[in-house]
Amino acid sequence: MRKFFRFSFVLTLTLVFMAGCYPVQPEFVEDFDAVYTTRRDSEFNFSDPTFQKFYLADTVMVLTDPNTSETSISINSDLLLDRVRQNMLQAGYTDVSDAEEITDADYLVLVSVNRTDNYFYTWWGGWGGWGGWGGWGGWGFPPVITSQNIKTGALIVELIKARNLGEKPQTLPIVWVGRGEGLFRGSEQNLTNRSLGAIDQMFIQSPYLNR
Amino acid sequence: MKKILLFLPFFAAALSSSAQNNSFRLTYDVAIPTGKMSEDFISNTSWRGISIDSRWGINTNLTVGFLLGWQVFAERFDNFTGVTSDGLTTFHGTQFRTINSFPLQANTHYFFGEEDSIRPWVGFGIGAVYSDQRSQLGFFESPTNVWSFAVTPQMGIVIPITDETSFTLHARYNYFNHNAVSFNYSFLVFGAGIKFLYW
Repeated sequence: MRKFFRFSFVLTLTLVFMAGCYPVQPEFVEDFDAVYTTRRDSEFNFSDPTFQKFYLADTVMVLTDPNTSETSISINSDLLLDRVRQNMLQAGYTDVSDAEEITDADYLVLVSVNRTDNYFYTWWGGWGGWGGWGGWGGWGFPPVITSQNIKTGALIVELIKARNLGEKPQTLPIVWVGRGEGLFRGSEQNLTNRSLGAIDQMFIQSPYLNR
Repeated sequence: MKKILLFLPFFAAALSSSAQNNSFRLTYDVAIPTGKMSEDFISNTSWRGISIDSRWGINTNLTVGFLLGWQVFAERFDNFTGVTSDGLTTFHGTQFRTINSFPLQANTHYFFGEEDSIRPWVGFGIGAVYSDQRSQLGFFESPTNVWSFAVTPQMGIVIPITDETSFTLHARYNYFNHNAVSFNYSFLVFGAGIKFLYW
């Protein structure tokens, strides 16, 4: 009996500890937010003093495939564009978004968003079955299928070398990309605040963009 | 073969003559990272540790045995900023780091004092460790399986409670050497638990 209690004590303690393999995990929606910036052209010299002017496209592109996800982004696009413009100005660039001067731009700045609906299906239950030679296994029940939609969103800012771009280029010479990712959950105010914060962070962690 | 069969009775007699030292220990362990492990990865104290330590007496003072353990290290880093090895990508967010370490070691211990009394001991363990090291930022997780060679100097004390059980305290310094990650694991362990005699 003593050995049984000892074994049970050890097993219980072990099982309790097994529940704590990963004691720190994301708890809040914001814990999944992340900002990535990439120097897409490793040869490009961001310190070139002749790169001074930028043209900011006046529309936020929605990259979501309407066949797979909802396309509504629930964020004020004008606020996003304005924040990108502010950060570029603070970095020392000159805004030439006036259409008459577009050919003078050194950088073309594009802002786009993407929303992805990730559906997960689980099902449980099912019919009972034969008990074998002994007869029926008993009454079963139909399977129950539950679905869960984990929505993620991304905000993308791209710097494109605008010099000698041409009218309809086959490829865009992207020199820098900023990407903010996170769960697409929360009120419009919450989503907007997190998006604006992500834009600021893109420029904070890219000091080489400063003039 | 005949020589082995001749040797066995003497070995069994040696073990049974030191039955007081044939014991099983279950302890709760607290671990404190040190060195590069603390500087480069996790500095938080681990409050989740358990070890099972089985020992057989060679004589009234000397034992040999093995240890199986589990220690969990975890830490959250808010506003963490890092750069990829090529220097081209910078990432920022809340990072979650964990290490689950499972040592399996052979050990030997020397007990001071008399049986059935409070007995301090010193010992040494050597063996292998499997560790699961993970970093998560945003939706991305970077897991690494780490196999290490481990050495563990240790000391402790046993305080009898009944004829078959004792209270045990110990301190161990764990050093896990490996190439899988850029830093070796080193941490101090302080544990308390119960010792049960096998027979």
